[in-house]
Amino acid sequence: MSNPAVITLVSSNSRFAKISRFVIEDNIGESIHLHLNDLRFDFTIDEFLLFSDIIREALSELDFLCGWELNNFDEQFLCLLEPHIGALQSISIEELAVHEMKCIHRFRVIDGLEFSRTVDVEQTSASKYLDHGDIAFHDYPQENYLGLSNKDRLVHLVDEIKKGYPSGDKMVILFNDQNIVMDGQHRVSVIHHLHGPHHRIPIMRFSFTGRRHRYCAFRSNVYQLLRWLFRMVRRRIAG
Amino acid sequence: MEKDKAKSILAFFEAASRDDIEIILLRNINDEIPFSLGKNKDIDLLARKEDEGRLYDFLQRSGFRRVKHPHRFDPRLYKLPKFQFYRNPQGVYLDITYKLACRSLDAGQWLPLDDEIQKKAWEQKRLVPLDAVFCQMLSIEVELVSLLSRCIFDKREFPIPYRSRIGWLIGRANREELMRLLLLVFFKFSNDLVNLVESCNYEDIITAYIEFRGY
Repeated sequence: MSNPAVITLVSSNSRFAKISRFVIEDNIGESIHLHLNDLRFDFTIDEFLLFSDIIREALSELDFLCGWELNNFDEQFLCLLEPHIGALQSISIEELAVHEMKCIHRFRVIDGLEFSRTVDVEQTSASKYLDHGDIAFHDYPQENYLGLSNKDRLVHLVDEIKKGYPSGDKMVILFNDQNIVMDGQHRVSVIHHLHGPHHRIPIMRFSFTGRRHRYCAFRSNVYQLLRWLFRMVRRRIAG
Repeated sequence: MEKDKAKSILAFFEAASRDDIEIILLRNINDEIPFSLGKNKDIDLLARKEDEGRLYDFLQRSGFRRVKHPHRFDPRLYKLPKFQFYRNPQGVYLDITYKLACRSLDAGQWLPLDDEIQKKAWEQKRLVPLDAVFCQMLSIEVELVSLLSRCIFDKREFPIPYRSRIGWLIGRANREELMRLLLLVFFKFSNDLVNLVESCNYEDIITAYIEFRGY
């Protein structure tokens, strides 16, 4: 019996890790599935929420976020951070002016191929939308929570930041010695819109060992190009 | 031109019946087949995989040629056979599937509906008149499941013509049989789904489905 309404909540697979398959799926109307390698656990929604609370407590005790709580971070960001946790050395708080930060901007090269580069905060799609009403932001490719449009997400954030930043201790995050926003691009754009480029805000700086956590546009774009080429070749063969 | 098109559609169904080719017309929304089929519209047919060779020969004899399917690059799951697309000189397109299928909600891969529904599609097919000829169509309950799946998973909306057809079918469906089949696709949401359809509340169906927590 196959359920067409499977929403993948998390998918973190790695061929080289002990747990090579870690997937959580919401099978609407049926159950929540947690796949761990070849095992599958079925939960009702209530059971899964309870399980998730227990895991949250366990993770807090492990203290892998250098003394910070899980609640201090966006959950989607934590998922992206997961492969790098082992290299995390410290998390420090600094103060930076908005104009000192850069953001990663993704742009479409051709159908199915996106590159990225760093831009000033006022050049992000979110800033252009807030400052000049540029509706290109509506279609800007980004991961949102299910059912939330780009506009809704930004409007919600403006209301939240008007009440104060950081809200719930969730700060803008930078990695190592780079002043590139790795999480919180929308927040920086909203702060830029509300308070201007010279406004200073507290940010979190994650320090990792090694240099592979630095953002490099060239490396990232070459990787995207290779992936796109691979997809094209596969399509040609399949078609 | 439209007359030629309608004639060729009727001739196709007549020849299929004469040659004992088992095909099921999956839907005829707004009764657009045979006389008012839009320019870019196709005829959705269900065929048996084991008849693929016979069907190909029959289509060749009937003047249809295989053309590239618009969804040929879409990923398919659970060994769903490839869709096939045929066109004749009158501009009639046939979209042939060997299993009732829909798209998955997240990544949009194609996957077959439950085997029980596939079985019922063939067991309970019914003969319906199409102008002067007859063709096979799905039973009321299977067609309802197929249309609801199409609107929710493929179209992500309920277009007005689909609403009319679904409304017509729900009033005539055997409730027990319908629930049995719906449970295979929509699980515990099936009851809510039927209630929403019966109250013609099509606008809220997709949101209610995604936000459903009763499981």
